[in-house]
Amino acid sequence: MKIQTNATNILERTSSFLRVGLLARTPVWYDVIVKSPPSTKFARQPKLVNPSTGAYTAKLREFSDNRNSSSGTYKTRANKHEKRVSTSAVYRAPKLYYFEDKLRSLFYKQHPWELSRPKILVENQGDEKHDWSRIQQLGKPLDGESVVQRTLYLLGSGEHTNLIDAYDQARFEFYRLRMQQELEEQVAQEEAGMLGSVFGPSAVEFGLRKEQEVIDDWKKKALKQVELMSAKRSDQSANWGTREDNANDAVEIEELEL
Amino acid sequence: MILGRRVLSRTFKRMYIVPKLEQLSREQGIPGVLSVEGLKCAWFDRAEHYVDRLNQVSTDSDGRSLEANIRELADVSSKKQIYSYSSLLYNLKFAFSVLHGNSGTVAERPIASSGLLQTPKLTLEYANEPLQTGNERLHQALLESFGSIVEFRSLLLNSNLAISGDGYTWLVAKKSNAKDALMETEFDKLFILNTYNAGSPFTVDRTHHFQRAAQQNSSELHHLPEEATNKNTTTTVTDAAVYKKSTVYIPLLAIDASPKTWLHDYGVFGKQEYLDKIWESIEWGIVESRLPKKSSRTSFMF
Repeated sequence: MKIQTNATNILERTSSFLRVGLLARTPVWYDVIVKSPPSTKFARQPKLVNPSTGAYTAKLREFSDNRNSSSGTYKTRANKHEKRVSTSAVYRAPKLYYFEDKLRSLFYKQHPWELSRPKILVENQGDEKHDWSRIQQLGKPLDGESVVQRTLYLLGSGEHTNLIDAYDQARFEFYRLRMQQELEEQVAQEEAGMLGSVFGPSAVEFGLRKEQEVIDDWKKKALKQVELMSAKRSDQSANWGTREDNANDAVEIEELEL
Repeated sequence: MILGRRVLSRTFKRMYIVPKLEQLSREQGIPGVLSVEGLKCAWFDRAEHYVDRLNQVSTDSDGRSLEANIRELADVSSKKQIYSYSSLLYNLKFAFSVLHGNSGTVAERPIASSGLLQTPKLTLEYANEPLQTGNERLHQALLESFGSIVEFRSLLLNSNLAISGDGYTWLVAKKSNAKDALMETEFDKLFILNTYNAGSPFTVDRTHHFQRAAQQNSSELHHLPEEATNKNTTTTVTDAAVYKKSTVYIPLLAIDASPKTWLHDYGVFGKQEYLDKIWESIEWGIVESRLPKKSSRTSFMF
């Protein structure tokens, strides 16, 4: 029997076994499998076309009309070595390129502090649809992704034909909203403060305080250890120092005698 | 005889009267900003209500002006109500005194909820800027203090937009510390200031707030090692941030943030729209007339 690369053909095989008489009784799982046959193919298929770029992964090089100067011949066919397609190229998961990624990296390179804003990475479905004819969305905070998606919308809707113009418009809309948000936060704090709110430490302050506690503890231990070390060292020097001193004195005396 | 005395005492009781502004009429509303009914809610009814309440609470009024009430009674706890209603009335009148309407029209129906997610427009020039109306001096002062008119506009309107309840956003000029009392009033910088509820720009004293912040800071600093606790820096920073009691702010312009003004015409989601309309109907000439002379000295403090 040849190697079974396709595990999903179990239904066909069992059917033919039954028909031929290799199997006397129908297996219990047979009806179930008939109703919902396995669809997943576990065998790796070679990918001859990169799905994201459309480029051929195993294409033979084309030969030009250049004459080989040393032998005076023309090369018309690929040799054995060139015909061999490297398996890694055909089976490698193709690298996916998205246009958005470039915009994302550009935006966050220009606005590194936007990365410091807290972000929820948990998704409910992961397929939320937003209407990017406006930059603000319900259920999605304003961030760099809004700028990227808005830029793509502006390009797609034909409002801008130039990428830079679309990006700039999205960016400036983002700035205006950020300004508004920052002032909202500030005013809310001021309002609350004037009405008697006393705010607890911020997340950063809390973190620094926790860190400081550990550093204080470490400092105590370190001081103790330094004391211990210095005590040992002074003890050593007291024992050995006298001998060394004596020895040094002896050398000096010798030198003097010389 | 008894009747006569009553009549006499009645005639001698001083009452606050409802202020009147020439440009506001019950028949017209403010063209381009508020409808007839909207203006009634925003101005006429409110002014009447405040005056009624003020007359109720100030039984022993000896004919003091609103401004005197605000200045003198701000820290008298037993007369807090008089202060509050005086301040509310003063602020309201101040805010409406600069609104002269524009050529636009008031929206027929309130702004829909989609107004909440509106994308901001990226215009850099707006209708009714101080320079367009010929107020060169004000324009120059705004440029010096805020950098540009766009910056000033977004700061002013965003400050107002952020107020969640009742309040006013003020454009104030800080009076320069003239040594000679006889000298003409001068200002050195313009600021934007929010007051909440019955707050007044005349009694800006956030000393308590800053003192409490400083106390809190110093108590928090106890957790830090001793070398980090530099009390001197804390106090100087606080001192610099505190508005000096001697500092005087001259209000130039007020914008009402209260839903009582915009809710009727613009609806729950219409505050941004309302503010845009307000900007277009500010009479900059009045604002400029309130602006004192620019001080030649520059100051770096608040």
